[in-house]
Amino acid sequence: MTSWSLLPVALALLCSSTLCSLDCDLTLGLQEDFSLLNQMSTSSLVPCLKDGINFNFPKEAMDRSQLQKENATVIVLEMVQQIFTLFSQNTTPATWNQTQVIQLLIRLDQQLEQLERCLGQNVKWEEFSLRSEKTRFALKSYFQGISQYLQGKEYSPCAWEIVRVEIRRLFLFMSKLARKLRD
Amino acid sequence: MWATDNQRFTYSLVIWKNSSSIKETHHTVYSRDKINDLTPETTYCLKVQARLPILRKNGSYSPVFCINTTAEHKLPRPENVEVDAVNNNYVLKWNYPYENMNFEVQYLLGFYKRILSDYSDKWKVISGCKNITSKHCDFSKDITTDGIYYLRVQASNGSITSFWSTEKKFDTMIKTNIAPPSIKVIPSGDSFSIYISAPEESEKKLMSQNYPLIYEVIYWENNSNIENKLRVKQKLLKVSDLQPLTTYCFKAKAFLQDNKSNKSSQFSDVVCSKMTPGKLAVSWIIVICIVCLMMLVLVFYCSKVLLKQVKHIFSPSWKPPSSMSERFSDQPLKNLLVASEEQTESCIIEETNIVMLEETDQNGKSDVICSKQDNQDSGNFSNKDETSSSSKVTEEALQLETMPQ
Repeated sequence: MTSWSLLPVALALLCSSTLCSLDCDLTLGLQEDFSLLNQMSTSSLVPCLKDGINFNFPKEAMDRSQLQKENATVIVLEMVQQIFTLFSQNTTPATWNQTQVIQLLIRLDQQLEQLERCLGQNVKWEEFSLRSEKTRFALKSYFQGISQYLQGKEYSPCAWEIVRVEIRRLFLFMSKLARKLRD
Repeated sequence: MWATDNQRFTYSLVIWKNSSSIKETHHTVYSRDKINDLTPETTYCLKVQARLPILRKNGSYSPVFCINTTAEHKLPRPENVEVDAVNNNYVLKWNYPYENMNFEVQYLLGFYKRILSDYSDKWKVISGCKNITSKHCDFSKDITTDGIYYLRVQASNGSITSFWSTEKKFDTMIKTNIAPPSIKVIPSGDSFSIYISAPEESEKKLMSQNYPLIYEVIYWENNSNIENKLRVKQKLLKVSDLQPLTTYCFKAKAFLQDNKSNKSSQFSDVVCSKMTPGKLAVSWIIVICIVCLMMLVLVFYCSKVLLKQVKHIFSPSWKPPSSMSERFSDQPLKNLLVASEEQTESCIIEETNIVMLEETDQNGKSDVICSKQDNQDSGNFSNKDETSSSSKVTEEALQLETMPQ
């Protein structure tokens, strides 16, 4: 848990002029996503703790990339895309509130489009993408790990509960990132 | 290889009539999208290219594929499908050339286009818009979550049904009317700093981030009609090259950046502000103030000295009797000689000659005053009769009495 709490501290992001003018502000959207994720399952995590593993969030890669502030938006886009893919495969437990799962998908879809559009306007963002390719690859491996874990556990409700906890952390992380970008 | 990216692909389609060489390119095409407005019973050829926008990577074009369009359908499809936001209700409107038709409206959750190549079974009917005769449909009740939706409508005369209209994309974050922005003008130095707040930035709806706005700022001198226009993308700008000490007025309006719609907001309120005086003037003012202050201090000091001299002239000077002067001549006098007998006082002599004197006087007189030691030999001190009561603190310097020899 300590590595997670250190992450936002490690990110000393300043608002770069190029990105500020993009208005890629997802702060509020991500917070609502987080609360939706909170509500969609009322199952207890306790019986599932034995199934828990460390997914190895690429902390170092993220820290390194924050030195180049422009990459942060590209990273948020990558993370939202991966979370969207995870939830879109129709493997979430039946006990979860399916309306809320759909709501999350709708929201993520809109946020993706928002990010793609506002990134697409910045002439330099191709540079950002290329520079952040290493980080994005690290993120892809991370999400692939989550996907394989779920597959291995046959998408059991317990496995999904563990993954839900992990994704909630991701939303908190992105929310803080977005707030730092905005301010 | 592209397994984790397969949802990120968009496609570019190039299509042309076999008989002509005029090519039409459609960007951001997704699988199962429709190409409309083709001529019936014509051969069309097309090729497709895959794109990965996030990496700005484009693939090669597919082989060319040719197909014939069918004969014109008996019933045209509805046209000019538009969404209007009326009083917080979302209304779909369309045109149709014939009267007495029935219409059906359906909607699709936008995210299905990202994840499914075949989403044909995901369309749902808008409740209350099945078999309607009016050419509009209020679909607010079915759209409860903010997001991206697609809407389509078809016409029917009972026996024949038209094809579906074009799919109208609807993003709930977009409002048809842009509210005016608000501006704050702060004079700073030889320019103005303008802060533009995007319209209606409330907690929930941040419209400007979806369809970015550009702003037009107009300013003019208060008494003139000449307007200056500025078009800016950022919300913070500086306007310089202005006359000092003149009042300028500002107003701003917001535009949608893609000028397809030509939509703009009303102008914000006019804000007028006066320029600060130029730097030169300011420094002069500061210099004058300092000089005045110094003069005041000087005047104060002089008047104090004068007052002292006046007192010296007009009030009696007290000289100790010769017997006493003999006795005390050798001792440095650190105490004050006072008239009254019982008295406790303490005088603290400091180098700066400022003294706090505290005394209790039974006779109701405050006796001792410490005055400033000056360079003259004759140190005088005077008794002052004051009507105030016992303890008193006065601030005056102590004069060391050195008895003249």
